[in-house]
Amino acid sequence: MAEILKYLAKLPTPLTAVTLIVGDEGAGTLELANLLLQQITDYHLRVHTATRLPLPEDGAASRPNFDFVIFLLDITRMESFKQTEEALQYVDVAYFHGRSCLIVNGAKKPDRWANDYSIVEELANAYNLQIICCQLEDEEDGAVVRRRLTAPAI
Amino acid sequence: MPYSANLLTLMSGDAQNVANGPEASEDITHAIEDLRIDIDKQKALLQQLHSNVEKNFQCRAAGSRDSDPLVGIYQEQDAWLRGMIAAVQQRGDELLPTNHGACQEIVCRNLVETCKQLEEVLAHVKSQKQDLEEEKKRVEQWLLEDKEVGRELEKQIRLASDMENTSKKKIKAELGGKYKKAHEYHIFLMQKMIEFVSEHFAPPGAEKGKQKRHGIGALDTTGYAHLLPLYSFLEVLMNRCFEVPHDPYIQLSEEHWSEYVELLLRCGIVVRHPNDSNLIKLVAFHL
Repeated sequence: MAEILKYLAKLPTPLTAVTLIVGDEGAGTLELANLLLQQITDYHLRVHTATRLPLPEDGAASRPNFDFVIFLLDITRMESFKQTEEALQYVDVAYFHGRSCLIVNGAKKPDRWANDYSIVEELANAYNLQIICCQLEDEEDGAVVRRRLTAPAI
Repeated sequence: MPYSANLLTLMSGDAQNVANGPEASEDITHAIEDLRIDIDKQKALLQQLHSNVEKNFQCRAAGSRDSDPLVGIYQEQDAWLRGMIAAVQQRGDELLPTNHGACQEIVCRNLVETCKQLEEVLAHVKSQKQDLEEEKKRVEQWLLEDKEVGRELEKQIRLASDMENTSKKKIKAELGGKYKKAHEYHIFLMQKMIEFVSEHFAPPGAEKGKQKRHGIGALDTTGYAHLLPLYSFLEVLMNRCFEVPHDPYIQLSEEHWSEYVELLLRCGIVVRHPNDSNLIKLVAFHL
């Protein structure tokens, strides 16, 4: 079995929140990361991105402890959903109570959805994930997502 | 103790009057030392706890395909909550340091340090701004000078192009004159050649009437009418030699009178192609 993303593998840094965004290419991972980094917070916010899990082993020593995992999927592409489903297999149980969420990008264009929304909902329910639907290109949506993710308590 | 007053004095940069007296300041330093020791202890404890966690805490993937991940998640959540309740009951609010005086002192010192750093930064930024403004002035000066130079250069270019135009016209006229002269000379030479050749190497049939230069007329019916006169023959050869210098040969046909060909060959004016006796070319006298 490949390496599972472990919670508290290292001592967390004080006053720092480290976020990992998992989403395949084209799902808007970088846009989301930039969006999060625009927010002014009381703590240091660091954002890491990954296209798939498990993470490669060679960078493991320099990798910090991740406090929060964001799963990002693009609902207009079936592949994105599959990759997210795959990635969920490699995450520690500890992340699934309040330390992760699922962001559904492309939700504002229902005519281009590749799969039914109920499948996404099922997936989120199965892993106790909170869903945030949005259109990341949309400025207003982006601001809402940013605020919700960086607020003191989600 | 009047810490707020201390803060004010500290903020104003008067570091000598940190506390109200030597005793008070000693107390504070002791308290700060104690606090540091406490913090170190807490850090060591944290490290130990973390290593314990690493040893004993097995991480599990939530999503094994055969079982419902929710069960695992809820079990885990249950365990975490129980652990947290136990921890809170055991430790109470010990986590925060109790010596507020020392804490305040530390905050004051940090603030003063930050202020100092910020002042330094401000001074630095100001000096940088000044530098930049000076540089801006310099650059603007350069720009003006460059513009001046550019204008001068444009002027010169205009002058030069005028000169060039006039000289071009001159050269054109000169060359035109030369060309005209050469052309006239060429026509003169050709005429001379035609006269000479027609007189001395007249085509067959023209011998009787030497006035008939083209050699056609008197003996039209004798079968010589199709023959090319010698000057035309020579002209074709010369044109071929200059227009197609890489392949100057011409094909012999019936219109080339064999006597003429023989004459030219004997005089060394034309040569045959080494492989094909039907092809002849003018000897390249001009090379």
